[in-house]
Amino acid sequence: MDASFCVAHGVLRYVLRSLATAAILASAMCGERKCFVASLQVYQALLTSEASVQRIKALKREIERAGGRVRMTVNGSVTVVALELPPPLTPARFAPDLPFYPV
Amino acid sequence: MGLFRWLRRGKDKTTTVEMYATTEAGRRHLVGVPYTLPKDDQEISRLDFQHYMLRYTLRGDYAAPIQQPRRILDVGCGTGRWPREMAQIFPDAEVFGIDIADADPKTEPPPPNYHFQIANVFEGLPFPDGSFDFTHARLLSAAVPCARWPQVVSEMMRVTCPGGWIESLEAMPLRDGGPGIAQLNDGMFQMCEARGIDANYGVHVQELFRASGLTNMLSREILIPMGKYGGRIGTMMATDWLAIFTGLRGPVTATTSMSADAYDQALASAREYVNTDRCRCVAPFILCYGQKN
Repeated sequence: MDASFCVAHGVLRYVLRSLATAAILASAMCGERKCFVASLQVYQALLTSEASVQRIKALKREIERAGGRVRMTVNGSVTVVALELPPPLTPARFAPDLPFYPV
Repeated sequence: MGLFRWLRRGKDKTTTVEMYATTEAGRRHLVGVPYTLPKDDQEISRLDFQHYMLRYTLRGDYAAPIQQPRRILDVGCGTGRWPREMAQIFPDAEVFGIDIADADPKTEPPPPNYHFQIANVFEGLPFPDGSFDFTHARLLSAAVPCARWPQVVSEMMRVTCPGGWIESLEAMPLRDGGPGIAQLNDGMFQMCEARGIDANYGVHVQELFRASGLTNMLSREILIPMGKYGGRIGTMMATDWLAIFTGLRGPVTATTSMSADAYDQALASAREYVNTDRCRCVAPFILCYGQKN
């Protein structure tokens, strides 16, 4: 009885661990890392200078490494940039002079 | 591979960032700027009305003693009424207007010497040093957080040539407006504070001008009556301010403890009060100009 319980317990633990690993891998592949972050604060900026846009593009990898996310949409002459950052990080950490405001 | 491409395409769709958001009250606001007022057709009409009202009340479009400016800049030109008129008053000058969004209703073709450019002043003005001999900004206090004002004034100084003039006209919160307007003011102050904006910042612009080294400065407070007691000007001012408070309903009720019902009641009370004989409400403006050495 004890032996079969131990085996069942071990199998269950293995299955659960595998499922958790698979979920992490799948979400990482889909870029849905936000599932594993408590809450991301969204900041947005309307950028009209090409130099500012290039700076954000250059910072993208660093922001993602810190657990954040960068989204950009071009709307006419304006590039709308959203930064999703895990607290306590703020845009000031990456681009203190650019006009990001909390949404 | 096909599955991954499909996944990536799906992800791209969700990454679109909206430039505008519509409030519960159905007004369209810019997202990503601290500007508190809406950016929609209703607001374009109000801004045009406000321009004509100020021109009528102040008896002109500017106060600085400019003679024959060659290049004029309007920072945060909104619907472009002011720079368009300046382009007509000074046909030999090149007049530029910048704003973060194009709110020009384009009901008539612009004068050939007027040029509009989309630009965010917080990224710096997109002009070389000393480009203008008259740099003007009006009613920016609803858009510029306190921390950004020194940068805005510094940029205005930078693009103005030696001997050129800089002028600012800022609105201050209403005074003596009765209980309804007091409540609306409180809501507006709280909402502005949450965005880093001081609704009373207009009085500090002259200090920034002075600290920047402007000379031949003039700064004065202009008190305009608001309400029926002020005659035509008072009625126009009441129409403008009540439209401003209507436009602020969404941001105020979303960011403060003031409920939509309480806001509507305060607005109704303000509307009623400005039409009574006991109303002595005033709308203060701070006019300030100076010359760059």
